[in-house]
Amino acid sequence: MSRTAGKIGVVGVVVILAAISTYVMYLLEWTVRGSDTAQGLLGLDICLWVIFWTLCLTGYWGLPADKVPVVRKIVGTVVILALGLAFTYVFKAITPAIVGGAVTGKVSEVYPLMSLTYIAWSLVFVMTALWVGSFYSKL
Amino acid sequence: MNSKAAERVLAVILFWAVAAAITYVFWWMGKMSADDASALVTAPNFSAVFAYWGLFFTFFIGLYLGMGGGECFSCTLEGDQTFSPEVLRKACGTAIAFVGTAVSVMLTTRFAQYGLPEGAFGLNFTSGSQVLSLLPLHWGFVWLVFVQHLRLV
Repeated sequence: MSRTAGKIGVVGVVVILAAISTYVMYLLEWTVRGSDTAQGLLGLDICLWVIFWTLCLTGYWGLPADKVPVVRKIVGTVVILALGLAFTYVFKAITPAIVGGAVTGKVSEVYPLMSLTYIAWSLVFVMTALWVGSFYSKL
Repeated sequence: MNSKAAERVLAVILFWAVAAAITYVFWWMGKMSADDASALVTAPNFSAVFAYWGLFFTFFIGLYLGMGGGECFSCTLEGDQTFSPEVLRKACGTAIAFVGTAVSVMLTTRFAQYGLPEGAFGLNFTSGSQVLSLLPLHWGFVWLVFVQHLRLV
């Protein structure tokens, strides 16, 4: 029963964290707004944040578990999100030199997939953490 | 650098080299098209396309095939063993996933035409940032998870 409660608890935390993450994207104006397609992209945003937090909490943290190195995992999660942010901005900056076009100006107009790009890089690093964790358990 | 560390470094290089190659192919397909609006890799989505493909190959090569030290690290050929069962199993799983992905992409793009007013090709979320370049990897994820977790082979 306690194991079931733990799983339900993890699902609840995933949903809450995904909602908070999506709301932060909205506040930062990194989501597409005001167009017919915005709702579809918002749905994709929510879905990908759910996937990210599911991978992070169940895969990287290993929840639900009896013992979790909480401090280490919090530091790891912050590093994953920070690396995702860094790569989002680095690739935003170098994109015109690679494929052309312009990315300067109001983010929601010139770079409408900013939120999806940030989740993409965050997913990259959580997946990399899972891969590294498959042969190095101290991550 | 020992051989395990070298394999891990090589694995990371492989993930991202393949991701870069596929991103380039999608970019090149857009370049070959006379219509600018049908470009698949543009400034707004280049980073996302590259990242999602890198993510896919980290999962596929690193976690599914086990390159770099995961579950399948020891599934190399030994002695006179021509095909180890593990290699065959992974090869079958990969083949099923790739065929499933190809069929799924074909069907979803086919049906997507009927959902768009002009009968346009692909899934066009915003002008100039088509997501067709992201479609195969999402289906690839679905099929690999399918193969792995349902233990199809």
